[in-house]
Amino acid sequence: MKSALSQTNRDLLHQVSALREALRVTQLPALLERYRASVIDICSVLEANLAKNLVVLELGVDSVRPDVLYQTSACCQLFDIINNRLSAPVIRYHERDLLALTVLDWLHQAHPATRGKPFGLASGVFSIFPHPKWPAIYFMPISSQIAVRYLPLLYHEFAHLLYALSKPELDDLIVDFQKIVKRALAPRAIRDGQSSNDEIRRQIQTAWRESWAQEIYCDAVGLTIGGASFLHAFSHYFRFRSSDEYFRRQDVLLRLRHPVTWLRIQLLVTRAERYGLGDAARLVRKEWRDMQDFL
Amino acid sequence: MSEEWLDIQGFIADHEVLQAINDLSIGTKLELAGVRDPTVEASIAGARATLERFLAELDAATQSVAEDDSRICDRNQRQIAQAFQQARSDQANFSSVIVRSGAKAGAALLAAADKPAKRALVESLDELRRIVSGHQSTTLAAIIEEF
Repeated sequence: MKSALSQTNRDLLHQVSALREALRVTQLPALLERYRASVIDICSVLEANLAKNLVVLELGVDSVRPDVLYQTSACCQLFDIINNRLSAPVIRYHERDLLALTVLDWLHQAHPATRGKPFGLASGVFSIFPHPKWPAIYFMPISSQIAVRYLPLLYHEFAHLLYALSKPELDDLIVDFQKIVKRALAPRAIRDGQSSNDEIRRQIQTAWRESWAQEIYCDAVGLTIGGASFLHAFSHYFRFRSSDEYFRRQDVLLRLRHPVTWLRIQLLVTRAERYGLGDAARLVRKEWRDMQDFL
Repeated sequence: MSEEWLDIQGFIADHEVLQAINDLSIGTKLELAGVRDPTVEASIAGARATLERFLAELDAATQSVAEDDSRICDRNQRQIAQAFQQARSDQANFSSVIVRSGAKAGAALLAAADKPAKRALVESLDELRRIVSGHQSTTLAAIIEEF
Protein backbone atom coordinates (compact mmCIF):
# COMPACT_ATOMS: atom_id res chain seq x y z
CA MET A 1 0.00 0.00 0.00
CA LYS A 2 2.75 2.45 0.96
CA SER A 3 4.66 1.97 -2.30
CA ALA A 4 1.46 2.19 -4.38
CA LEU A 5 0.50 5.46 -2.66
CA SER A 6 4.00 6.78 -3.16
CA GLN A 7 3.97 5.85 -6.83
CA THR A 8 0.59 7.52 -7.42
CA ASN A 9 1.68 10.74 -5.73
CA ARG A 10 4.92 10.84 -7.75
CA ASP A 11 3.02 10.20 -10.98
CA LEU A 12 0.59 13.01 -10.18
CA LEU A 13 3.49 15.34 -9.44
CA HIS A 14 4.88 14.63 -12.93
CA GLN A 15 1.49 15.30 -14.50
CA VAL A 16 0.97 18.56 -12.62
CA SER A 17 4.46 19.66 -13.56
CA ALA A 18 3.78 18.88 -17.24
CA LEU A 19 0.53 20.81 -17.17
CA ARG A 20 2.18 23.76 -15.47
CA GLU A 21 4.79 23.90 -18.21
CA ALA A 22 2.11 23.74 -20.93
CA LEU A 23 0.27 26.60 -19.24
CA ARG A 24 3.47 28.62 -18.89
CA VAL A 25 4.57 28.43 -22.52
CA THR A 26 1.23 29.13 -24.24
CA GLN A 27 1.19 32.49 -26.03
CA LEU A 28 -1.55 34.66 -24.53
CA PRO A 29 -2.76 38.25 -24.73
CA ALA A 30 -2.24 40.47 -21.66
CA LEU A 31 -5.95 40.09 -20.79
CA LEU A 32 -5.36 36.42 -19.87
CA GLU A 33 -2.11 36.72 -17.92
CA ARG A 34 -3.88 37.05 -14.59
CA TYR A 35 -5.95 33.94 -15.34
CA ARG A 36 -2.85 31.98 -16.33
CA ALA A 37 -1.08 33.02 -13.10
CA SER A 38 -4.05 31.98 -10.95
CA VAL A 39 -4.28 28.49 -12.49
CA ILE A 40 -0.52 28.03 -12.12
CA ASP A 41 -0.90 29.04 -8.44
CA ILE A 42 -3.57 26.36 -7.98
CA CYS A 43 -1.19 23.83 -9.55
CA SER A 44 1.55 24.95 -7.11
CA VAL A 45 -0.73 24.37 -4.11
CA LEU A 46 -1.59 20.92 -5.48
CA GLU A 47 2.12 20.13 -5.92
CA ALA A 48 2.79 21.17 -2.32
CA ASN A 49 0.03 18.82 -1.10
CA LEU A 50 1.40 15.92 -3.14
CA ALA A 51 4.91 16.55 -1.80
CA LYS A 52 3.48 16.61 1.72
CA ASN A 53 1.83 13.21 1.11
CA LEU A 54 5.24 11.75 0.24
CA VAL A 55 6.82 13.28 3.37
CA VAL A 56 4.06 11.86 5.62
CA LEU A 57 4.40 8.39 4.08
CA GLU A 58 8.11 8.37 4.95
CA LEU A 59 7.47 9.15 8.65
CA GLY A 60 6.67 5.48 9.28
CA VAL A 61 3.43 5.99 11.24
CA ASP A 62 0.97 3.37 9.95
CA SER A 63 -2.13 5.03 11.44
CA VAL A 64 -1.89 7.95 8.98
CA ARG A 65 -1.95 5.77 5.86
CA PRO A 66 -5.78 5.95 5.47
CA ASP A 67 -5.53 9.76 5.67
CA VAL A 68 -2.82 9.81 2.99
CA LEU A 69 -5.04 7.57 0.86
CA TYR A 70 -7.89 10.08 1.21
CA GLN A 71 -5.50 12.96 0.46
CA THR A 72 -4.20 11.20 -2.64
CA SER A 73 -7.75 10.58 -3.94
CA ALA A 74 -8.63 14.21 -3.29
CA CYS A 75 -5.55 15.36 -5.22
CA CYS A 76 -6.44 13.07 -8.17
CA GLN A 77 -9.97 14.46 -8.33
CA LEU A 78 -8.84 18.07 -8.04
CA PHE A 79 -6.24 17.57 -10.77
CA ASP A 80 -8.95 16.21 -13.07
CA ILE A 81 -10.85 19.47 -12.71
CA ILE A 82 -7.72 21.61 -13.23
CA ASN A 83 -6.62 19.51 -16.19
CA ASN A 84 -9.97 19.20 -17.94
CA ARG A 85 -11.71 22.44 -17.05
CA LEU A 86 -9.51 25.19 -15.61
CA SER A 87 -6.77 24.81 -18.21
CA ALA A 88 -9.07 25.18 -21.22
CA PRO A 89 -9.15 29.02 -21.38
CA VAL A 90 -5.35 29.03 -21.64
CA ILE A 91 -4.62 25.96 -23.76
CA ARG A 92 -7.45 26.52 -26.27
CA TYR A 93 -6.92 30.30 -26.57
CA HIS A 94 -7.64 31.63 -30.07
CA GLU A 95 -7.47 35.22 -31.27
CA ARG A 96 -11.26 35.12 -31.90
CA ASP A 97 -11.57 35.19 -28.07
CA LEU A 98 -10.26 38.77 -27.99
CA LEU A 99 -13.60 40.51 -28.63
CA ALA A 100 -15.36 38.69 -25.77
CA LEU A 101 -12.32 39.02 -23.50
CA THR A 102 -12.30 42.78 -24.09
CA VAL A 103 -15.99 43.03 -23.16
CA LEU A 104 -15.39 40.91 -20.05
CA ASP A 105 -12.42 43.03 -19.05
CA TRP A 106 -14.59 46.15 -19.37
CA LEU A 107 -17.21 44.54 -17.10
CA HIS A 108 -14.66 43.44 -14.53
CA GLN A 109 -12.96 46.84 -14.45
CA ALA A 110 -16.30 48.59 -13.89
CA HIS A 111 -16.99 47.01 -10.48
CA PRO A 112 -14.70 47.21 -7.43
CA ALA A 113 -15.49 43.62 -6.40
CA THR A 114 -14.36 42.17 -9.73
CA ARG A 115 -11.55 44.55 -10.70
CA GLY A 116 -8.70 42.22 -9.73
CA LYS A 117 -10.56 38.96 -10.36
CA PRO A 118 -8.91 36.69 -12.93
CA PHE A 119 -11.22 35.42 -15.67
CA GLY A 120 -10.95 33.22 -18.72
CA LEU A 121 -13.08 32.19 -21.69
CA ALA A 122 -13.96 28.74 -23.03
CA SER A 123 -16.37 27.34 -25.60
CA GLY A 124 -19.80 26.05 -24.63
CA VAL A 125 -23.35 27.22 -24.01
CA PHE A 126 -23.59 30.63 -22.36
CA SER A 127 -22.69 30.01 -18.71
CA ILE A 128 -20.10 30.83 -16.09
CA PHE A 129 -18.10 29.17 -13.35
CA PRO A 130 -18.25 31.85 -10.64
CA HIS A 131 -16.27 31.21 -7.47
CA PRO A 132 -15.13 33.69 -4.81
CA LYS A 133 -11.65 32.15 -4.56
CA TRP A 134 -11.04 30.48 -7.93
CA PRO A 135 -10.69 32.30 -11.27
CA ALA A 136 -13.97 32.79 -13.15
CA ILE A 137 -14.53 30.99 -16.46
CA TYR A 138 -17.08 32.32 -18.94
CA PHE A 139 -18.46 30.04 -21.64
CA MET A 140 -19.97 31.04 -24.96
CA PRO A 141 -20.70 29.22 -28.21
CA ILE A 142 -17.99 29.45 -30.88
CA SER A 143 -20.28 31.29 -33.34
CA SER A 144 -20.98 33.93 -30.66
CA GLN A 145 -17.26 34.51 -30.13
CA ILE A 146 -16.94 35.88 -33.68
CA ALA A 147 -20.13 37.96 -33.81
CA VAL A 148 -21.64 40.69 -31.66
CA ARG A 149 -25.34 39.82 -31.62
CA TYR A 150 -25.29 37.70 -28.45
CA LEU A 151 -22.34 39.32 -26.64
CA PRO A 152 -24.72 41.13 -24.21
CA LEU A 153 -25.69 37.74 -22.77
CA LEU A 154 -22.30 37.83 -21.03
CA TYR A 155 -23.78 40.53 -18.79
CA HIS A 156 -26.13 37.93 -17.26
CA GLU A 157 -23.21 35.59 -16.65
CA PHE A 158 -21.17 38.42 -15.08
CA ALA A 159 -24.07 38.95 -12.68
CA HIS A 160 -23.60 35.37 -11.40
CA LEU A 161 -20.06 36.36 -10.42
CA LEU A 162 -21.37 39.48 -8.66
CA TYR A 163 -23.82 37.24 -6.81
CA ALA A 164 -21.08 34.80 -5.78
CA LEU A 165 -18.95 37.67 -4.45
CA SER A 166 -21.86 39.13 -2.43
CA LYS A 167 -23.57 35.86 -1.60
CA PRO A 168 -24.40 36.39 2.09
CA GLU A 169 -26.14 39.73 1.45
CA LEU A 170 -28.01 38.54 -1.64
CA ASP A 171 -29.01 35.28 0.04
CA ASP A 172 -30.57 37.38 2.81
CA LEU A 173 -32.65 39.22 0.18
CA ILE A 174 -33.81 35.90 -1.22
CA VAL A 175 -34.79 34.69 2.24
CA ASP A 176 -36.99 37.81 2.52
CA PHE A 177 -38.39 37.09 -0.95
CA GLN A 178 -39.26 33.57 0.24
CA LYS A 179 -41.92 35.05 2.50
CA ILE A 180 -43.64 36.55 -0.55
CA VAL A 181 -43.41 33.22 -2.40
CA LYS A 182 -44.77 31.35 0.61
CA ARG A 183 -47.71 33.75 0.97
CA ALA A 184 -48.48 33.55 -2.75
CA LEU A 185 -48.52 29.75 -2.65
CA ALA A 186 -50.53 29.38 0.55
CA PRO A 187 -53.90 27.75 -0.15
CA ARG A 188 -56.93 29.90 0.62
CA ALA A 189 -58.79 26.86 1.92
CA ILE A 190 -58.45 23.11 1.99
CA ARG A 191 -61.58 20.98 1.72
CA ASP A 192 -61.87 17.79 3.75
CA GLY A 193 -60.29 14.90 1.85
CA GLN A 194 -58.42 17.19 -0.56
CA SER A 195 -54.64 16.76 -0.66
CA SER A 196 -52.82 19.84 0.62
CA ASN A 197 -50.08 19.83 -2.10
CA ASP A 198 -47.59 20.72 0.61
CA GLU A 199 -44.83 18.82 -1.18
CA ILE A 200 -45.32 20.70 -4.47
CA ARG A 201 -45.37 24.02 -2.61
CA ARG A 202 -42.15 23.08 -0.84
CA GLN A 203 -40.50 22.16 -4.15
CA ILE A 204 -41.55 25.47 -5.73
CA GLN A 205 -40.17 27.40 -2.76
CA THR A 206 -36.90 25.44 -2.94
CA ALA A 207 -36.57 26.11 -6.69
CA TRP A 208 -37.07 29.87 -6.17
CA ARG A 209 -34.76 29.97 -3.18
CA GLU A 210 -31.87 27.87 -4.52
CA SER A 211 -31.76 28.93 -8.16
CA TRP A 212 -34.62 30.77 -9.86
CA ALA A 213 -34.37 34.00 -7.85
CA GLN A 214 -30.69 34.27 -8.70
CA GLU A 215 -31.46 33.82 -12.42
CA ILE A 216 -34.05 36.62 -12.29
CA TYR A 217 -31.49 38.81 -10.49
CA CYS A 218 -28.94 38.09 -13.23
CA ASP A 219 -31.49 38.93 -15.94
CA ALA A 220 -32.16 42.26 -14.19
CA VAL A 221 -28.44 43.05 -13.95
CA GLY A 222 -27.99 42.12 -17.61
CA LEU A 223 -30.73 44.55 -18.58
CA THR A 224 -29.33 47.26 -16.30
CA ILE A 225 -25.91 46.96 -17.95
CA GLY A 226 -26.96 46.34 -21.56
CA GLY A 227 -30.35 48.02 -21.88
CA ALA A 228 -32.16 47.28 -25.14
CA SER A 229 -29.16 45.35 -26.54
CA PHE A 230 -29.45 42.82 -23.72
CA LEU A 231 -33.24 42.56 -24.08
CA HIS A 232 -33.02 41.92 -27.82
CA ALA A 233 -30.11 39.47 -27.49
CA PHE A 234 -32.01 37.52 -24.82
CA SER A 235 -35.23 37.47 -26.83
CA HIS A 236 -33.53 36.46 -30.09
CA TYR A 237 -31.53 33.72 -28.40
CA PHE A 238 -34.57 31.99 -26.87
CA ARG A 239 -37.67 32.90 -28.87
CA PHE A 240 -37.63 30.11 -31.47
CA ARG A 241 -35.41 27.66 -29.62
CA SER A 242 -38.23 25.38 -28.50
CA SER A 243 -41.81 25.38 -27.24
CA ASP A 244 -40.24 24.54 -23.86
CA GLU A 245 -39.30 28.23 -23.59
CA TYR A 246 -43.03 28.99 -23.30
CA PHE A 247 -44.33 26.13 -21.21
CA ARG A 248 -42.95 23.21 -19.23
CA ARG A 249 -44.68 20.48 -17.25
CA GLN A 250 -44.45 21.25 -13.56
CA ASP A 251 -42.51 18.11 -12.61
CA VAL A 252 -39.88 18.89 -15.30
CA LEU A 253 -39.72 22.61 -14.52
CA LEU A 254 -39.11 22.04 -10.81
CA ARG A 255 -35.94 20.08 -11.63
CA LEU A 256 -34.45 22.91 -13.74
CA ARG A 257 -32.13 25.68 -12.59
CA HIS A 258 -33.99 28.35 -14.60
CA PRO A 259 -37.64 29.37 -14.48
CA VAL A 260 -39.52 29.08 -17.77
CA THR A 261 -38.17 31.63 -20.27
CA TRP A 262 -41.62 33.10 -20.97
CA LEU A 263 -41.76 34.28 -17.33
CA ARG A 264 -38.24 35.72 -17.56
CA ILE A 265 -39.28 37.68 -20.67
CA GLN A 266 -42.36 39.10 -18.91
CA LEU A 267 -40.22 40.28 -15.99
CA LEU A 268 -37.61 41.73 -18.35
CA VAL A 269 -40.06 43.73 -20.48
CA THR A 270 -41.76 45.09 -17.33
CA ARG A 271 -38.41 46.23 -16.01
CA ALA A 272 -37.40 47.58 -19.45
CA GLU A 273 -40.50 49.80 -19.47
CA ARG A 274 -39.50 51.18 -16.07
CA TYR A 275 -36.06 51.92 -17.51
CA GLY A 276 -37.60 54.00 -20.32
CA LEU A 277 -37.03 51.31 -22.97
CA GLY A 278 -40.69 51.27 -24.01
CA ASP A 279 -40.10 50.68 -27.74
CA ALA A 280 -37.83 47.67 -27.19
CA ALA A 281 -40.19 46.27 -24.53
CA ARG A 282 -43.23 46.55 -26.84
CA LEU A 283 -41.42 44.85 -29.71
CA VAL A 284 -40.21 41.93 -27.58
CA ARG A 285 -43.58 41.52 -25.87
CA LYS A 286 -45.29 41.36 -29.27
CA GLU A 287 -42.74 38.82 -30.64
CA TRP A 288 -43.34 36.48 -27.72
CA ARG A 289 -47.11 36.94 -27.76
CA ASP A 290 -47.20 36.16 -31.50
CA MET A 291 -45.16 32.99 -30.94
CA GLN A 292 -47.28 32.00 -27.96
CA ASP A 293 -50.46 32.42 -30.06
CA PHE A 294 -48.90 30.35 -32.84
CA LEU A 295 -48.06 27.54 -30.41
CA MET B 1 -24.98 29.06 -14.01
CA SER B 2 -25.12 25.49 -15.26
CA GLU B 3 -25.77 22.39 -13.15
CA GLU B 4 -22.28 21.13 -13.91
CA TRP B 5 -20.59 24.18 -12.47
CA LEU B 6 -22.85 24.12 -9.42
CA ASP B 7 -21.61 20.56 -8.88
CA ILE B 8 -18.00 21.71 -9.27
CA GLN B 9 -18.62 24.51 -6.77
CA GLY B 10 -19.92 21.89 -4.33
CA PHE B 11 -16.93 19.66 -5.06
CA ILE B 12 -14.47 22.51 -4.34
CA ALA B 13 -16.24 23.43 -1.08
CA ASP B 14 -16.18 19.77 0.04
CA HIS B 15 -12.55 19.44 -1.08
CA GLU B 16 -11.44 22.32 1.16
CA VAL B 17 -13.17 20.76 4.16
CA LEU B 18 -11.80 17.29 3.40
CA GLN B 19 -8.30 18.73 3.00
CA ALA B 20 -8.61 20.31 6.45
CA ILE B 21 -9.97 17.09 7.97
CA ASN B 22 -7.09 15.07 6.50
CA ASP B 23 -4.46 17.61 7.63
CA LEU B 24 -5.80 17.78 11.20
CA SER B 25 -6.24 14.00 11.39
CA ILE B 26 -2.67 13.39 10.22
CA GLY B 27 -1.31 16.05 12.59
CA THR B 28 -3.21 14.64 15.57
CA LYS B 29 -2.20 11.02 14.84
CA LEU B 30 1.44 12.06 14.55
CA GLU B 31 1.17 13.88 17.91
CA LEU B 32 -0.32 10.72 19.48
CA ALA B 33 2.59 8.72 18.03
CA GLY B 34 5.13 11.21 19.37
CA VAL B 35 6.35 12.10 15.88
CA ARG B 36 6.98 15.69 14.79
CA ASP B 37 7.28 17.07 11.26
CA PRO B 38 7.46 20.79 10.39
CA THR B 39 5.61 20.35 7.05
CA VAL B 40 2.65 18.75 8.81
CA GLU B 41 2.70 21.16 11.76
CA ALA B 42 2.61 24.15 9.41
CA SER B 43 -0.78 23.09 8.04
CA ILE B 44 -2.55 22.33 11.34
CA ALA B 45 -3.53 25.88 12.34
CA GLY B 46 -5.07 26.53 8.91
CA ALA B 47 -6.90 23.21 9.01
CA ARG B 48 -8.32 24.00 12.43
CA ALA B 49 -9.51 27.45 11.26
CA THR B 50 -11.19 25.96 8.18
CA LEU B 51 -12.99 23.35 10.28
CA GLU B 52 -14.09 25.91 12.90
CA ARG B 53 -15.68 27.96 10.13
CA PHE B 54 -17.26 24.88 8.52
CA LEU B 55 -18.70 23.58 11.79
CA ALA B 56 -20.17 26.99 12.65
CA GLU B 57 -21.89 27.13 9.24
CA LEU B 58 -22.98 23.50 9.56
CA ASP B 59 -24.50 24.19 12.96
CA ALA B 60 -26.57 27.08 11.56
CA ALA B 61 -27.55 25.06 8.49
CA THR B 62 -28.64 21.97 10.47
CA GLN B 63 -30.83 24.16 12.68
CA SER B 64 -32.42 25.66 9.60
CA VAL B 65 -32.98 22.23 8.05
CA ALA B 66 -34.48 20.93 11.29
CA GLU B 67 -36.99 23.81 11.22
CA ASP B 68 -38.10 24.40 7.64
CA ASP B 69 -34.84 25.09 5.72
CA SER B 70 -36.27 28.22 4.15
CA ARG B 71 -33.15 30.16 5.12
CA ILE B 72 -30.68 28.06 3.12
CA CYS B 73 -30.22 29.37 -0.44
CA ASP B 74 -27.34 27.06 -1.30
CA ARG B 75 -28.23 23.56 -2.50
CA ASN B 76 -24.84 22.11 -1.52
CA GLN B 77 -25.05 23.55 1.97
CA ARG B 78 -28.56 22.15 2.40
CA GLN B 79 -27.47 18.68 1.27
CA ILE B 80 -24.50 18.60 3.66
CA ALA B 81 -26.74 19.71 6.54
CA GLN B 82 -29.28 17.00 5.68
CA ALA B 83 -26.50 14.37 5.47
CA PHE B 84 -25.23 15.46 8.89
CA GLN B 85 -28.76 15.26 10.34
CA GLN B 86 -29.15 11.76 8.91
CA ALA B 87 -25.84 10.69 10.41
CA ARG B 88 -26.97 12.02 13.81
CA SER B 89 -29.99 9.75 13.72
CA ASP B 90 -27.94 6.76 12.52
CA GLN B 91 -26.46 5.85 15.91
CA ALA B 92 -25.47 2.37 14.76
CA ASN B 93 -22.95 3.79 12.28
CA PHE B 94 -22.04 7.16 13.78
CA SER B 95 -21.01 7.45 17.43
CA SER B 96 -18.29 10.13 17.56
CA VAL B 97 -18.47 13.26 19.73
CA ILE B 98 -19.02 15.61 16.78
CA VAL B 99 -21.93 13.60 15.40
CA ARG B 100 -23.52 12.78 18.79
CA SER B 101 -23.20 16.27 20.29
CA GLY B 102 -23.62 18.36 17.15
CA ALA B 103 -21.40 20.58 15.05
CA LYS B 104 -21.14 23.44 17.57
CA ALA B 105 -20.15 21.16 20.46
CA GLY B 106 -17.77 19.27 18.18
CA ALA B 107 -15.91 22.48 17.32
CA ALA B 108 -14.61 22.64 20.91
CA LEU B 109 -12.86 19.32 20.29
CA LEU B 110 -10.68 20.78 17.51
CA ALA B 111 -8.17 22.16 20.04
CA ALA B 112 -7.93 18.81 21.90
CA ALA B 113 -4.93 18.82 24.23
CA ASP B 114 -4.83 15.50 26.12
CA LYS B 115 -4.63 12.01 24.63
CA PRO B 116 -8.25 10.88 25.22
CA ALA B 117 -9.52 14.13 23.64
CA LYS B 118 -7.17 13.70 20.68
CA ARG B 119 -8.40 10.14 20.13
CA ALA B 120 -11.98 11.42 20.27
CA LEU B 121 -11.02 14.10 17.75
CA VAL B 122 -9.52 11.53 15.36
CA GLU B 123 -12.72 9.46 15.59
CA SER B 124 -14.86 12.56 15.00
CA LEU B 125 -12.79 13.66 12.01
CA ASP B 126 -13.12 10.21 10.48
CA GLU B 127 -16.93 10.29 10.75
CA LEU B 128 -17.10 13.88 9.50
CA ARG B 129 -14.99 12.81 6.54
CA ARG B 130 -17.41 9.98 5.76
CA ILE B 131 -20.32 12.42 5.74
CA VAL B 132 -18.62 15.04 3.55
CA SER B 133 -17.10 12.40 1.22
CA GLY B 134 -20.53 10.90 0.79
CA HIS B 135 -21.85 14.24 -0.41
CA GLN B 136 -18.82 14.84 -2.62
CA SER B 137 -19.18 11.47 -4.31
CA THR B 138 -22.64 12.44 -5.62
CA THR B 139 -21.40 15.75 -7.09
CA LEU B 140 -18.32 13.98 -8.46
CA ALA B 141 -20.51 11.40 -10.22
CA ALA B 142 -22.35 14.23 -11.94
CA ILE B 143 -19.10 15.96 -12.93
CA ILE B 144 -17.48 12.79 -14.22
CA GLU B 145 -20.57 12.02 -16.28
CA GLU B 146 -19.98 15.31 -18.02
CA PHE B 147 -16.53 14.11 -19.00
